[in-house]
Amino acid sequence: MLSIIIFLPLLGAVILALTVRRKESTFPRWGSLTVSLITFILSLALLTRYDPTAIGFQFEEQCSWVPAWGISYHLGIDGLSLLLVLLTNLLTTISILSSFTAIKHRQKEYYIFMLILQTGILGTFLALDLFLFYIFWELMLIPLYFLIGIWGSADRIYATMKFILYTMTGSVLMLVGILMLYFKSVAAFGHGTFDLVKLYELGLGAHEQFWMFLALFFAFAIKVPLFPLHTWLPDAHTEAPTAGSIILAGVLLKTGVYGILRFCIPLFPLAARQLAPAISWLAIVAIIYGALTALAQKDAKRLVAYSSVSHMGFIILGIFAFNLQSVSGGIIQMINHGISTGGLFLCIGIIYERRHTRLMSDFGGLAQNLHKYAVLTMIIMLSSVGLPGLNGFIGEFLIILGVFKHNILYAVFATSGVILAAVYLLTMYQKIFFGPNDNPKNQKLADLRSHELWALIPLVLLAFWIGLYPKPFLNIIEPASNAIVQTMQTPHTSETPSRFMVEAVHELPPR
Amino acid sequence: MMSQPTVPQLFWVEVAPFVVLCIWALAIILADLFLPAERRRVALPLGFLGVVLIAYLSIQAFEIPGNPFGGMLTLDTFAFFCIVVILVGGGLTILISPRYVQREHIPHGEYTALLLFAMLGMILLAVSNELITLLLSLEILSLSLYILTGIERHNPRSSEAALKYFLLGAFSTAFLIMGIAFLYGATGSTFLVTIAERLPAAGQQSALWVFVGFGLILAGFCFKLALAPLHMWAPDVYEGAPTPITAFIATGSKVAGFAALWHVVMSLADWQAMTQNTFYVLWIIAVFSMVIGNFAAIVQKNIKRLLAYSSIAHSGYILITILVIASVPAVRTNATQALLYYLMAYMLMNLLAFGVAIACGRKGDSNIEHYAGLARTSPLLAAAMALAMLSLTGVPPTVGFVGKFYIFSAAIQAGYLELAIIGLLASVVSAVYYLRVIVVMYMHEPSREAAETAREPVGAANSLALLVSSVMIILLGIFPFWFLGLK
Amino acid sequence: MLQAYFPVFLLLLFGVGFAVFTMLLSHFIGKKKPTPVKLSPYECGIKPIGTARIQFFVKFYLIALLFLLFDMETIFILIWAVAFHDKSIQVFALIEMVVFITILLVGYAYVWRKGALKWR
Repeated sequence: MLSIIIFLPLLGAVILALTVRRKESTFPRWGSLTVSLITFILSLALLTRYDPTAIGFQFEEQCSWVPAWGISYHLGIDGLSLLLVLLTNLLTTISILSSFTAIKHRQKEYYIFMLILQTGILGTFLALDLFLFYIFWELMLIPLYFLIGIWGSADRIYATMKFILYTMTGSVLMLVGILMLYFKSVAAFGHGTFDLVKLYELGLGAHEQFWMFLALFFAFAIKVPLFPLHTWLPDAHTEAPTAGSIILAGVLLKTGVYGILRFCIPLFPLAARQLAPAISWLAIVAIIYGALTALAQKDAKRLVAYSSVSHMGFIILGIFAFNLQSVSGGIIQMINHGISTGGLFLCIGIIYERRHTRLMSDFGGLAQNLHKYAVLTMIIMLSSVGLPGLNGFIGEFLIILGVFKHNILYAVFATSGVILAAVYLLTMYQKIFFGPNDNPKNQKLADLRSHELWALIPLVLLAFWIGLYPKPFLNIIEPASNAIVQTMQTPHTSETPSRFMVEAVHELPPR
Repeated sequence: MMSQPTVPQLFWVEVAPFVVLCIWALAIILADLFLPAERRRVALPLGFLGVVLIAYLSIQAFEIPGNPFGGMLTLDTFAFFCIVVILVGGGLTILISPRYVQREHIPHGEYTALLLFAMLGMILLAVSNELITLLLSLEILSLSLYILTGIERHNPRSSEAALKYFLLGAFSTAFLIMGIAFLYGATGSTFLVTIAERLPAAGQQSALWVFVGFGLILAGFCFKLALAPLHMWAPDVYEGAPTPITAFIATGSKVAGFAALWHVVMSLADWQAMTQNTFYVLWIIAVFSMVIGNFAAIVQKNIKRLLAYSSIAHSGYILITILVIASVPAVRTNATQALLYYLMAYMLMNLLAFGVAIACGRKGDSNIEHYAGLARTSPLLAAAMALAMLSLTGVPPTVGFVGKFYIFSAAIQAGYLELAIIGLLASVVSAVYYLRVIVVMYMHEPSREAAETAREPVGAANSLALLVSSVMIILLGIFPFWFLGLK
Repeated sequence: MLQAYFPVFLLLLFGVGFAVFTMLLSHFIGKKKPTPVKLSPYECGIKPIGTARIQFFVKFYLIALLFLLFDMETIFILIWAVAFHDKSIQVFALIEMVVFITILLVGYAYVWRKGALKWR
């Protein structure tokens, strides 16, 4: 089941590559939309069969791959990855839909890369073997590199090189960390393994944990991105094509957080606790710095990019407060950020496609003639601000609540980030949609076309759903966040740290 | 006074690959002499046939492992693997040659025969277990390659490259001979096995001689393998030599050279006094090669020069395995496997890159800018080149990634964390120039001239070579255990 | 071990010594009466034309190289002939030499067919 979900897009890409010959064919867009939609539906089927109360990973698939090195093809899903898989499939479908008119040249290649990217991301979320994880982790880099480099805007090559070099630096250090871990497992078990579930049972001393944590965390922190490793993000987001930005902000940044939750914390809890204050402060700097920089932007896409830095800081802060509310908040905020920031990039992409400018000063008064567009953009913008009743509020509220219990000072700083978010996002909305519509080029703009509408509506509906009735989502998340919290709270010796990852699930509080 | 000469026992099956290869090459020379001019093109297909035949004979020979030629050669799994890799490399080189040879008016017969002689030198070098044999096979290999480098006589760059290669090569051979003399002086034998046996008993004086001897031999190898600081010849020679020959120099001679270096190091590695002293030397060479190669490659505009610097860097990565073998006995098996795997990987990706370079090259020109928009004009070639570049960078799921993974896991297992980190960061630097090739191919618009003039067809043989190496790069990247099953 | 080579050393010493000795002798005891005719460069009795530093025709090099190559092989055959008296290796040595000469012959055929021996 999981394998099918992962490799269906890749299969679609191969078929696309082999079949389509004509340049003007519309088959690539419809074909790829179909493939990603089927994948999305399959992952919904996964959701219906998923048992939120069960322990550990579900739908596990395992077969030996490179036995000599203890590498196996091991997939599995839990609450955390389930939601992220759903988000990935949803956003990929939406971004393919949004590319229908935006991408005019070299369509076939474009959709092939989109589908490969989907495979890479899904694999990253579902792999339970570190080697397999690393392969998918790198695999998702390449298509994105092409997507930004070929279909991006003016400065695309600089942006794509910067993006790939940052990420690669991180991933090679992660490789070192993974290999160190592997040889620790050789020492502990007698035979090496890359299997995550087995590695959880590895007892490591605090000193060993420290360096391996850093090696892995560095890679994930670049992806998140955590201040001061964020500088690739504004360039990559700004120059990427709309769909690229949606995937990048919506899903790709989450792979970093996912990595921290799945690998860094459960494998190296001692180090995580030791480094938590430093990371929290970096997250706070990211929140405030990101927000202030966003405030100073003239380019709408860049503004949203910096808002991502700020929002991702929230998530990291929540996770490293290590209590149930904050971690759950962090996880649900990952989904929210995917919806709202992905949505914002989509909105900006729609207007960019019509006017080929992203400067806010080029717009003004759009609300006068683009009614549907203005309304939908406002909802998504407000969800990003964190207005009660919309999804962003739930996540931010939970995070701040949890962080407040953990450390009041952190919470105070974090709250200032929320206020700043309202300032810069509302300013942006005001500059684009209100005021006089005095630019003649803006007066004849067409409102949303049907495929744009269909791309935006699911996001808006989800924003309301999570905002008004988050319980189903929280139910899925809770076991995962509980496990993290238990791992961190139990005072453990260095021999048996991560057992709790598994055991914690047994001791779920009754709901 | 002198020991009585004895007649070595010869088993036909054991020596068949070497003997037949030699006869085959001679036969091609003769055939070329007496065939009419218009039928001389059969030389290349004949050469390919020869390679296939030799591959078959080698598999036969592998059935009976042994030490033919009075123990001067060792036929074991290691040797077998190296021979196969070299034969595959040579076969692919012949496959990518025809169009180029035709285009540049290179004499077919000499070209093929010399290529086969070079291969003979390589496989002998890879399996030789005795220093004089090692030297002789190195000379067979080098002399053939010197001539092949300069075989484009009308091209001054080719002549320049040949002269540089020859002068510096001869110089480095002198180092090698001196080193062999020192080792012989210290231990009284040129057989590596005997040297290894006699080393522990070596006195203070002899120990010094062994160090000096090993240092000189290492210097000789550093030249052949283009390791810093003796790498200076590589860019000029790579640029000037005919492109298929560049590919062959970059791949085959590297495989053979590292195999021979492995034999030498293995014979010395068990000697306690050796480990500590060689460690620093090899460490410095490896790090310098990785750093210099990767940073110098960034500014290159010519694909062949770029690949030359990249080959310096790759030699640096590979040297890490030798370093591990020399200093940490516990990791020796893993490091040897890593060495073999990487040599194979390196050969496949480089031949793919050079194959594409030949397919899209125009007469006497290999500037990267000419690949602009290749993805539009010939998407398959661009995809193949992109695959080669990604594999050279070490991106999964390609053979290059598994190779790097293997090498650096051996380094970490041996406890050389800093070496692994330096190497991996160096490979991030390498991404800058490898990916720039992709940028040019995929993200630049094709020049008007390139869009209008139709490319000459790639040719069946070259297409086959590109296909085979592409498929192997991906398959061996996803299923490395096919390789692991061999050991 | 080196003592075995002492006669060779003596021969070397004697050979070089004799040449040096005669030259020195003629230098010291010969009379020197330079005239302009005596000091002028001498080339087969004819006055030289141009300088002596001229480019040789490349053919000369080719011939010289070929001569050198085939001449060097003779040295190998000489050593082989010395060892040949040993009965135990005669058959083997003969085969070896046939192989060697055959390879050499291929080279000779190559040189011949390529026209390197013709003075064009």
